[in-house]
Amino acid sequence: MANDYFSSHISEKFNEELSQLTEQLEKMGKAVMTQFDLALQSIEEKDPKLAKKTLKKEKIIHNYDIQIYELGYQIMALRSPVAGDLRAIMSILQTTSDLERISDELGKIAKAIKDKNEIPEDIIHIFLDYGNGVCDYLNRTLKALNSYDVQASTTIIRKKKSMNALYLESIQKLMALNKTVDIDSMSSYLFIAKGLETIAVNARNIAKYIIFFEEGIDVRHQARKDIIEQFSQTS
Amino acid sequence: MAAPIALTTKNWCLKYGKTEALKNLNIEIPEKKVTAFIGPSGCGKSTFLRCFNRMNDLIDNVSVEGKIMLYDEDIYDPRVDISILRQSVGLVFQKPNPFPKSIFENVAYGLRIQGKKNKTELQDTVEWALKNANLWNEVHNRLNDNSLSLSGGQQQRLVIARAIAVKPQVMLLDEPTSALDPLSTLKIEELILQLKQDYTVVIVTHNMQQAARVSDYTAFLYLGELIEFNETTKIFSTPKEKQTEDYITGRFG
Ligand SMILES: Nc1ncnc2c1ncn2[C@@H]1O[C@H](COP(=O)(O)OP(=O)(O)O)[C@@H](O)[C@H]1O
Ligand SMILES: [Mg+2]
Repeated sequence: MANDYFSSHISEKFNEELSQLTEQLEKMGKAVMTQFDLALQSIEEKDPKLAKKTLKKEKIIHNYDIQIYELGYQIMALRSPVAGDLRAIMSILQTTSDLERISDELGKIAKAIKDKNEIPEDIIHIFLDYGNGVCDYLNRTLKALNSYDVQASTTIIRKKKSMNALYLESIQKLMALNKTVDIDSMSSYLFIAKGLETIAVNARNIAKYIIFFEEGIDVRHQARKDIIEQFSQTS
Repeated sequence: MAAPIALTTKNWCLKYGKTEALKNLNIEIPEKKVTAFIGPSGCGKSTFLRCFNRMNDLIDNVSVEGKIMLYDEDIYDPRVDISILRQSVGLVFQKPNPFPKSIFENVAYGLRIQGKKNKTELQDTVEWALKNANLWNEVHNRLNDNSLSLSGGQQQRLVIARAIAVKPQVMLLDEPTSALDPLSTLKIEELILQLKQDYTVVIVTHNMQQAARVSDYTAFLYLGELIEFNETTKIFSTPKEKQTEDYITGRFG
């Protein structure tokens, strides 16, 4: 339904409001991706200045969060949306808060990087491998969001297993280095890996909201295999 | 649907002359629930509603086909006594239509037709009906005033009291609040929610939010056809038919 959905209402003003919501959301998603790139770059280049910049991006994300929340709230109050409109607004608001949390995690990661002045090269590689994986995962999710693509969203959910495997791999690699790393540093490295894992979970939530909007089915608490069974055309 | 069924239509068709106004309608209306009919003007909501107490019989040129059952009684059976049918299936119109008589006599009207003469019985039933229509507190000390001195909202509740005084099984309401202000509207909506404890209620409404607020089931009619019938929460969250979705969200069909 989605592509012309936000232009098909009899009220032009309502079409504008809905398009404004989706445009703001798209921009918020792009801003989060920029922040993610900065965070990875700050790890790669061991550059505290980049880490600081990553932290600053949080403010932009907060502003989007506030704007989208307010507009969604206004539409709910004034238009009493139902059916697809209601599902659109609910899933947009939920997506916004997951993007906000992703941004928070990126901020925390950047802060951890900034506070560590020496990170060993092999640990940087572990973070970059895992971080790029999560970054790509989020990017695909946001693409699915922009086209309200249920198939692509199902693929995101299907990939839960491989994302979990990446996480475990990074933890195992970190733990293998425990002889050369002091406890304080190790705990902050584990904290960074955990932060990346949280971002993957948030991305998956967004994929679930897309399915809710399009299909009207709440899959937030459904098992991965049940979601795949219902929505995947290939399996 | 789990609730017992009060009204059933089977392949129900109605024509005004040669114009088909209702096309092959099949619906089961659950007992002691509120069922709303929604749809654009002229889609046949009022026509359909009037079928349930045979009000259409009064219109020339109307022909019907199919069956309508009130529980297990075929209401179009020639042996049916229409005045008794209209007592067990009461109809309330858009514009309040009290008789130009006292408040008391309006409510007692149907009882007198039933031949009830006992004064205390009449008084008791009038009081009971006015209380059930949430009007008693406003009128108990002026029962002999002319009903036309009441406000629109009060008149509508009086008409409802008149209908329930004869203890109907079904209450049909055709846009009962479209002539009322928002507060009077809310009072009628409250009343509808109370009524369903004792009666099966069918309401026609233009106001989608009203259907969402008061009804348990919603039927969407379009050009004389029943497009979708389901629990109201389903209709307003995840309608199955695109036509329903377009109508309730205000999109081009
Ligand atoms: N008494 C009548 N004679 C002829 N046609 C009628 C009569 N009443 C209604 N109609 C027609 O039947 C259709 C359904 O009307 P109605 O039931 O009043 O629709 P709704 O209540 O949904 O607005 C309309 O096309 C209307 O013009
Ligand atoms: Mg009508």
